[in-house]
Amino acid sequence: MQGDERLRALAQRSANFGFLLAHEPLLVSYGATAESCVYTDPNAALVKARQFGESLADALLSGWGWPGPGRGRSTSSARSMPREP
Amino acid sequence: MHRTFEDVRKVGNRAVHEHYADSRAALTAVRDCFSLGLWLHRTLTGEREIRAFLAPEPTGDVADGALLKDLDRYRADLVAARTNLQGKTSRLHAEQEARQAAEAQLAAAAAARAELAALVAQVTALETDLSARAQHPPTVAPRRRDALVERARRASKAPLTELETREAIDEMLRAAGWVVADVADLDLVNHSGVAVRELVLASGRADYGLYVDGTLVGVIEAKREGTSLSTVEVQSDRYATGLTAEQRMNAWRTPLPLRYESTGVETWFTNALEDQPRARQVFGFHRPETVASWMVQSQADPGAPTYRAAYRAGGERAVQAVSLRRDRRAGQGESRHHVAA
Repeated sequence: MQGDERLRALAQRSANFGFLLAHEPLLVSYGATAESCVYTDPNAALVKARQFGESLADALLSGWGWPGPGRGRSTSSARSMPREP
Repeated sequence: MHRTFEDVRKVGNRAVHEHYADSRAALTAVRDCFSLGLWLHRTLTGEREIRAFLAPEPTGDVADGALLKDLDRYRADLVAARTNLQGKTSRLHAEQEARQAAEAQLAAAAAARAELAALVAQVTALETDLSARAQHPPTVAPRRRDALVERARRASKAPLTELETREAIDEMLRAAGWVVADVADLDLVNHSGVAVRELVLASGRADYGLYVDGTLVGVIEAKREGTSLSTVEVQSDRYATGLTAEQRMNAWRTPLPLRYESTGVETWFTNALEDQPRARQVFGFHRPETVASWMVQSQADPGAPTYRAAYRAGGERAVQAVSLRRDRRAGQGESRHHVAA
């Protein structure tokens, strides 16, 4: 798929988020997008960062079986993440 | 980790509902995302490699002092993470090299910014498609899940950089009663136990040289967490035999009998006074007075078995005999160190 090629190209060039491609491609996109508009559109960067957080929590809960509230409750999924020791 | 999630969520909510926009907050949020992503990566792969956040550089002038301070901090973290002390002639030199590498990395990132932005624009259009694909079925065995949770806990504590490792070792040495000093302000007269940083030997550089009562008795090799300590052992062996002429004069015995390898988290010890020396894990460094008592015993009776050798040869009774003799000689028993020795 052509999209995958573009995604891979992005992952290769993104130092901060490229290594997440193998785990969840969406994270590469959200992270790199947020990073690219920190100075030009901080509001969009913040919204993307939030999407990144939700997507990561969702992936953990549904894909890797993290013990949490279950699927389809993405807004509260971040709450089930481990707390600081 | 939970707090980082909460920070990203809250500031994101503000952005959505109040149209909050601030470059410093955005940069912090992106850095938080990086930390979360790294935590996920470490949780899933168990990798302990050190990665540092590469902050995007502003294109124009920045008036926000707090933002500039943040950028400086990220740059300093990047340099610290890239500082590789292995095989370098001095710490200053290693830091200079790391700074150059970090600057090159930042410059390369700035040069690739336009290309990255174009790619981002293309990929953003794919996000709907991607999120539809992201719905994995939950098929994880409880055992694998438990392992994952355990790894996630470990991953929330970042591995130490080489500089942090040295700080941790300095702290451990001080806690065991050693004076930690640089070669320049080495004072062997007024202190019983002195650990000298970056001791130059004929065969290379030891991260620490250990002096007890003015005599060189051992070396410590510092390693970054995640490196296999068995290869370090070979290296310490090399340091323990290759001394300069002056060091040989000061050395208690050659090769130096005490060799430690430490990551600041995990420490291994080899005592060449044993008849069959092998590395074993210890909870900390031995105290200088403990080492001094070994030296006295070994000099009084070169054939005297160490605690471990006695244990291997004669079992418990022999160990008790060695232990009692040591207590009598040392005047006061340090039973804790007998166990460790």
